[in-house]
Amino acid sequence: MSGCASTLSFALQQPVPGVADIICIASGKGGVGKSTLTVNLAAALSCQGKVVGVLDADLYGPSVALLLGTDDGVETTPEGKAMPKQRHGIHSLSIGNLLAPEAGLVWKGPLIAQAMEQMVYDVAWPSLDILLIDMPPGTGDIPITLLERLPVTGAVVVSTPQRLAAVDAERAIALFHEYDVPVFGVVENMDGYVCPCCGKINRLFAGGIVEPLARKRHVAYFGSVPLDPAASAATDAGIPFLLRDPQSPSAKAIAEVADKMMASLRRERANPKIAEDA
Amino acid sequence: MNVVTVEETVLAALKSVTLGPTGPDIVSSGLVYDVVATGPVVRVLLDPDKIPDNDAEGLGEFLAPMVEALPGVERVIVKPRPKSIISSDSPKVARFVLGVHSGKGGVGKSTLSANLAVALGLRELKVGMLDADVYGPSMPTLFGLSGRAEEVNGRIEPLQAHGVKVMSLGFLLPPEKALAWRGSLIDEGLPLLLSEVAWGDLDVLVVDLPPGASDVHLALAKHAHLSGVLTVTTPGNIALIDVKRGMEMFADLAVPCLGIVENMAAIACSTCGHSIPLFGQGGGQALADETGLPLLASIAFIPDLSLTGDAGVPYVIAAPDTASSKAIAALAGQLASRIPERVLA
Repeated sequence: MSGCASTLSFALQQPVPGVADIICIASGKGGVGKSTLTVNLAAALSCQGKVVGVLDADLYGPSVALLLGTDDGVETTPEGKAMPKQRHGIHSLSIGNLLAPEAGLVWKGPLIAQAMEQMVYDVAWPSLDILLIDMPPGTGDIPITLLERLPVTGAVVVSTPQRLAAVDAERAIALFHEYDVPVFGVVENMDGYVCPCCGKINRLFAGGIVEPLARKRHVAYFGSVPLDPAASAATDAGIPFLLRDPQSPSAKAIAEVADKMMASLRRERANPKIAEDA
Repeated sequence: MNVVTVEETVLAALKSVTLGPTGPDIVSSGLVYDVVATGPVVRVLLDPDKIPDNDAEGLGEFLAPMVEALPGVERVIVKPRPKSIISSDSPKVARFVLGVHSGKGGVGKSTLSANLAVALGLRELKVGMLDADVYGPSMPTLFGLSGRAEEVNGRIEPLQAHGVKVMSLGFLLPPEKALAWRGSLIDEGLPLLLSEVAWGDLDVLVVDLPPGASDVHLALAKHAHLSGVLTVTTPGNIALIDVKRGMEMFADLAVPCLGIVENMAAIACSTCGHSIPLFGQGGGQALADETGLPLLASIAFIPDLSLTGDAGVPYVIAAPDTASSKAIAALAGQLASRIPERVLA
C-alpha cells in the first residue's frame, strides 16, 4: 500500500465499548441513496435478530433522524453519555437529533474530529452486534477522522449507475484501501424505477457502470437496488421501506445485500488476512 | 387596517430591555442588529461589536425565552449578525461570481452548474467554471475533459470546452486517487484555484460548491467574492432540511441567495407517459414560500439527459429543445440580467 497509509498511526485506534463490528456505508458522491440504504440495511439485520446501531456521521446533511422518525433532543445517562434513540428495533444517533436545521452550522476541520469522537465514544451504545456508520459524501475530514480512530471491520460502497457517481465511488474505495479497511462490496442504487401506472421499468441513468467498477477495483458486486417511488413516501414518514413493504423489489434487493454483507463479515472475522486478499 | 407583524412584536419587546437601569434600550443602541421572522421562526441578530463584555452567549440566553414567549413565535435563534468574510487580498476573477449550492448531495447541482455555465456562454458572455467540489469533482466528466491542466508562465491554464473555461481539481490529480483533504489543506489549496489560474477576462464565474456547509464554503466565501448563490434542491423532505442549513450558512456570511432551483421535479414513463414525482413534490415552492426567495426554475428529470452528462456534452447543447434545456436557458437569462454592465475603458 502506498504513501499515505504508512504515515498513519494506528495506535490512535480505540475500540468502541460494547460494539462488536463497525461497518461503514459510503458513497463518495452525495444523494445516491446511501442513508436510505443504511437504515434499510439496519432494518434487514435487525429482522435477522442482530442488535444493530446506526451512527449518522454525515454532519453536513444528517438524514438518519428523519429516515428513522426519531425525535429531537437526546437524553444523557448519569455518567453524561448520550442515549441512542431506539425505533423500529434500531439504535441510532444523528446530529439531526441534536440540532435544529436553522442552526446553519459550519463545521471546521478540528471541530469535526471532536464532534465525531463524541458521537462515537460518549454514547451509551447497548451491546451491539454491528454498528453501521452512515458516512458523509466525499473523502474529507470526517472519513479521515473516523478511519484513523475507529477499528472499522469493513465497508460497503454505494453508487448510482452514472459515471459521475462511479468516479467518486472509486475514490471512496481507494480511501478505504489506503486505510487497510476491506471493502466488502459495491451496491448499485437507483438503476431504474417501476412505473406505478404500466409496470414498465424505466432506467434513470446510463447503467452498466457499477459492476465493472467493482471488478476494476477487485471488490465484490452486491447487486442492484431499484428505486421505489412509494418508498420515498415511507421515507418521509420515517419508516424504513424494508419494514413497510418487505416484498417490494427494492426491499428484497436490500435484504440480499444484507446477506452478502454478513457473509463477508463472517469471512473477515474467520480469517482477516484471507478475506482481505480475496 | 393595522397589522402588527411578528417582527414588530419582537422589536417592541426587545425595546423594553435596556443596558443597565438608565442605559439606552438594546434596539436603539444598535445592539440588536435586526429581527427576521420566517413564519413562526424568529432570528434575532445581534451586533457582537456592541455587546458589553462580549457576552453574546449570556445575552442570547436571556433574550431567547423572552422572545419565545411572544405571540406568533415558535422558535427563536439568537445569533451574530451576518458578516462578510471576503478577503481584500484575493483577486476578483469575474464581474459576477455565482455559487451553485445545495445542502444535500446528489440533487443534480453539478449537472445544473455545467449546463448553466454553457447557457450563459451561449448568451455571448465570457464564462468560467470553477469546480469547487474538491471531494467529488464532476466537471471533467460533465465537460468531457480528461486532460491535465498545464502551467504556462507560472499560471495554471484552465481547460476549455463548449465555450467555457473550466478549472477542476480533477485536472490536477488522477481519478482513482482518493482526495483525502483535511480542512486545513482546503484553506491553502482552494484560493490557489482562483489566484493562480489564468482565468483571463471573465463576465461570470460559476462555482460548483460541494454539498453541506464546510471549510470549502468558508474558503470560497472568503476568497471568491461571491456575488450570490443559487440554491438547488430536489422536491423531497430530506433534501429540504439540508438545504435550509446551507442557506442559513450563506445568510450568516452575508452572501445573498438569489433564488431556488428545484431539480428532478418529476419523471415521465417512457412507455405510458405517466408522470410521477420521483423524490417527493412541492418542496421547491414550499421553500420559496417559507424563505421569501423566488423559485427561479423547476426542472424535470429526463433520464436520457443523464447520458449527455456522462458523455461530456451538456444537454443545453446536446438536446436544446427539451423542457430542461429551455428551463436552464431561461434561468441563464434571468441571471445574465443581474450581471453588472461592462465598464468600457
